[in-house]
Amino acid sequence: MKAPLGLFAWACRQIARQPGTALLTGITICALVTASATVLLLEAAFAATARELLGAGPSHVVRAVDATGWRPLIAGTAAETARTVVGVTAARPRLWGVVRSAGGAAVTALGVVDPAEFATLGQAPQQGQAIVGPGVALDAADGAPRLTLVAAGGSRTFVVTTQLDAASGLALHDAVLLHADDARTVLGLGPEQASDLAVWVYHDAEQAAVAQELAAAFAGAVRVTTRTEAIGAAIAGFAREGSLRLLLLVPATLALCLLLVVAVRRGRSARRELGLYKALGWSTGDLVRLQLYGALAVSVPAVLLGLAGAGWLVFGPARSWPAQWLFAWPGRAPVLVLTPAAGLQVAFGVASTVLVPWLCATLLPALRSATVDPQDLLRGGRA
Amino acid sequence: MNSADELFPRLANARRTVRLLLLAAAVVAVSVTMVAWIGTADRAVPARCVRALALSTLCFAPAGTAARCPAALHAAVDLRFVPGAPGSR
Repeated sequence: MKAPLGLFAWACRQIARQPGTALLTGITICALVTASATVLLLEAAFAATARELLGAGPSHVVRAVDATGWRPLIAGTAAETARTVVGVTAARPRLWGVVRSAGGAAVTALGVVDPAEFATLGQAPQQGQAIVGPGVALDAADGAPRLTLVAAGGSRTFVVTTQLDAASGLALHDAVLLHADDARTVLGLGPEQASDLAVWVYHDAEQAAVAQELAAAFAGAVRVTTRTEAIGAAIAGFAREGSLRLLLLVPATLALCLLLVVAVRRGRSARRELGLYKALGWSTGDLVRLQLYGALAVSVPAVLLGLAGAGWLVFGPARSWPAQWLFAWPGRAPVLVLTPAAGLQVAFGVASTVLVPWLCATLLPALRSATVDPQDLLRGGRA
Repeated sequence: MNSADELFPRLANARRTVRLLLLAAAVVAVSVTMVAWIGTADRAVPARCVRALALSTLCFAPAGTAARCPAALHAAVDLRFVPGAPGSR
């Protein structure tokens, strides 16, 4: 039995005899792992990010509906009604809607209803002022930065006091934060009206039960969306792009099959070499380990580099390509600071999916040569 | 002669190359982990925004698209679809 280090050195020597083949094999495995792991990491990271961030939001959103669609709520009455439901700890009306800027881009107008709560982010906008997200294009004008919104009663121009940095992009990339009165004016709401109602409950486990109680507490028809449903909708938005995953994984699977075929054929062509080793006194165990070390010396660095590349693509700094690529943002896409979740599961899953068949295909010729006469191998007989 | 270097002196370069590759891969993997760890502070910013403004959707998709908030396109608030409103379709 040969020393492991000696066998490893011999395997490296075999690789050095055909460096081009080893390099191409390594590049192929690396690209295969990168493509597969990027898609899987993105999916896991989107889901984890949605769970983490939306977990900080309200547990229910109550919207009034009628036959024509959504309709505004009376803010004070709706909040009082919601607070009468057992398990509800807080209720806050929200002012929001989709409007167009003067440049034609769709933005989300948000009214700051609770300046005290907003203080964690900074000073709330006063009347005539706006705080805009990093993706909102301002009016092209000299002097103070301004933003014109096409409002219900005509265009309204606001002085932009702050443009938020890219770190807030996941929540407020295309948002325009306004004073509550301005938001009502822009959205065409009355003085007491709100777009919907955000509700918090004491126990998250009671979401479904409280949703029914909330719906029953309101006199008119309402639709109650729980946090779980909101998270599910966010994840489903990515899941709808499943065709993209297929686009990458189908050729990746084909590439893996081709790699295995090449490995098997190369092993068959090396039968004479295996016969020579056996004639020189190498045992079958030595040959198997030699093939194993040779395969690992190429594939392990390739797999590690591929996984690192995928991690860098998904979790690296200032990554806006996933949003641009998946959701086709018309302008600048938000920087997605995704939660690095399920990284180990994806890494082990992809690595084992690639490595196990690759090692099997590489070891097969050595295993088949175990019971064959070395002379037959040297003559080119079947192993 | 038990040492591999004594047995195979010409293989030192090949072994060094493979070790360097393994080291490079490990360095990249550690770097990515560090970047993810450093990004923890950045991930706290959108969480504060969500809490302060009681948001129930994230900016994965552009505003006004079904992927952003499929169930909440509000006919009375989404002014792009109000007949006669400036800028409506």
